[in-house]
Amino acid sequence: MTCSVRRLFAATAASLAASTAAADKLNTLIPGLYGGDGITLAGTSGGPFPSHAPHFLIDTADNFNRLNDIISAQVGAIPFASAGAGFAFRFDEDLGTFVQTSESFGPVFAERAETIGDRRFNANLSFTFFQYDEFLGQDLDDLVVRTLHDADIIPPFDVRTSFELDTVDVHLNLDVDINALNFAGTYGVTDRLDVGFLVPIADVDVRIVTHAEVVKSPENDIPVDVHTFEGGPESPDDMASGSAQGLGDIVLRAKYHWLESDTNNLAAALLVKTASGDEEDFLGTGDATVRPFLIYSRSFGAFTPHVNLGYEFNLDDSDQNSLEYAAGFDFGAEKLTLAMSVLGSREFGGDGFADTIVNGAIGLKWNPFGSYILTANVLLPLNDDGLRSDFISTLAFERNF
Amino acid sequence: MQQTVRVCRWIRNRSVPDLRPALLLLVLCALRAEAESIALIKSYDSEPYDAAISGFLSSCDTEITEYNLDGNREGSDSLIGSIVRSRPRLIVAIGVLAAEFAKQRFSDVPVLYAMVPEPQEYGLTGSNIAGISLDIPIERQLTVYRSMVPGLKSLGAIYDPRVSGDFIAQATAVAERLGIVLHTRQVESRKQVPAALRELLREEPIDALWMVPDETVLTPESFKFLLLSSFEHKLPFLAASDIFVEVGALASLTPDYADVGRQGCELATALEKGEVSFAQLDVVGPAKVNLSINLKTAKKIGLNIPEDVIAAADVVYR
Repeated sequence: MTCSVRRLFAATAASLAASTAAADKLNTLIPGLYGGDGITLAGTSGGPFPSHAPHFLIDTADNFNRLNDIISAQVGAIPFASAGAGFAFRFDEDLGTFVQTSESFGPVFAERAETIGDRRFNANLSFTFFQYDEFLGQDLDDLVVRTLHDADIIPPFDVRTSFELDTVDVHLNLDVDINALNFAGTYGVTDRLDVGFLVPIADVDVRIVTHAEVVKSPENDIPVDVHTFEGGPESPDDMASGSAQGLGDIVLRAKYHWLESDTNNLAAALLVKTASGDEEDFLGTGDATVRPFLIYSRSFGAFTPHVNLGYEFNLDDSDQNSLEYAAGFDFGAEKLTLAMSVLGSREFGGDGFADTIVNGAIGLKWNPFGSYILTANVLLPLNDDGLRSDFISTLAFERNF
Repeated sequence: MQQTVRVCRWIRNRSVPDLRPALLLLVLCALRAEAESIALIKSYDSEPYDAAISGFLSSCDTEITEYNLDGNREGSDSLIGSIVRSRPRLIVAIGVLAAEFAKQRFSDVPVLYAMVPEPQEYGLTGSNIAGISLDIPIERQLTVYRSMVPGLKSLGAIYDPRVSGDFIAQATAVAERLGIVLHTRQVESRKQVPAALRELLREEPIDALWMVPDETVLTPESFKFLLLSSFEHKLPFLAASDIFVEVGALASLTPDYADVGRQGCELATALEKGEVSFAQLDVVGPAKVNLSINLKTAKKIGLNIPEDVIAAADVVYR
């Protein structure tokens, strides 16, 4: 992790523009495996089967081909850390006055309705690091992709029969490591209006190791191995790797503390995500989005539940418009706040890949002294959809001015 | 639990070959000290109490033995035994718990209490008990606030009559004497605070909002509402504690806890010398109060606080 941080800082200092360690963009690594045109086995001639150069292709609709899009879509979605600025007290009967008590510093990734106050500024520096572990519930250490034989060797064409039903199963060991250094600031324009920004600098490492094996179909009754890598143009093993560092998708946010009673608070907010990160290097999603949302929070002393509900409009691909929600609470003890939230996203016009993403967030905020707050948070997947990490860690340092 | 603050240090510091005379002197000295010491009883560990005790100890050049109730209203047997054996000539009780404990358990020993709000409410009266209240006289509060808000003619306050009914009755009379009209609205729960405040602001021409120390009215949530409303109406928000000034209220007056200790020493000395009797003393207010002012808030609401008031303030948030 230390090395990654150093590298991130170096990347930040060097340039805010994306730079790629490898010559190729990261999104070319997966399609470029086995030469990028499917898997060609040893040619055959003679024998009881038609002479041909067996060629196995990945279905264009296959999950494998969606990995690129999904990595890009999810890497770029760094959550906006909530700014914490609380104040709590109790009446001390023995002193006959009010004394300051523990305060809750708010949730980590969800929002509560309160704003930070007129002309106050919250600076937040966070480091998020994780590795993807599963894709659609399959372990990324052994992701199996099935490639299919050409269907036009044995008549009738376009229908697979006999050895055309053989497949080549490709076992992928995919490592995608993400480290992101995020600079965020929130400024109180008035007592009820906050504006903020988040600038992520990301470091993405991708490593793919593959091993392919021929799987003979039970319906292929030819007694010899028609399909083999031996003597063919391609090895059953392949690998690719690359890394990129650079600016991610910049996020802008405004929050207006709209309605307030003695305990209930309602705010309206707008989150705008730019497409500043390089999608081809998995540094950004490639799409600009606008998300209006409502925030409700209610305090029961140091216990403050919150609900966020919004709709995200994807300005480049309306099929990816999504309902975004969060619900949870934060609870403040002496100088310490525990925050738990469920963060969800649902694409109604999605294509079946990563349409529903639900994560749980558990975090601690600690105020060691003054107005400094240290935060540790983990995001845990609560469903299997999409490309997921078992554990997304965030460490943050913030200060209120 | 028990700490002898001062002993006959000269004996300990002596280097004599035969220790028997020194030991004899030490015992005699200790007996004499116990018989004539002041017992200082603290309700429990707390920053304000410790500040008052520091003020007392640093001002008083006499033998003092400290005890801590640790929040136990009845006091442990060992603590009571220790106090009885020390035969104190005066008990100084810090905080409500200690004052009540001293009055009930040691009715034959004179008791001087300090750091107690509304002592009459706790029945801390009698022929050999007196003390320093934490209550800042209303007249003093209003006089300071009037000097800070030139032209202050009317104040608005929200209160729960069950909690602050007596205080508001007194405040209304005192304000009237000072030429200030106190406009109030009653609430019975914190949920009624927003409506009560809106009504107050709509119907009464108030020059400032006065936060009385009422735990029904003031919660972290209602405070934010009161504060934001005061900003929106550009009203000075006069708070019940310095903690509110730091986060946006205009000003507050708070007893100086260390000075309460110093004042306690002064009164204890006067009582022991017979310069004043318990009956004469009864209850006195804190001699020194700290004025806190938030100048950012003053600027925000367009209030020019006179320079002499700012110069006299103990805490200024800029």
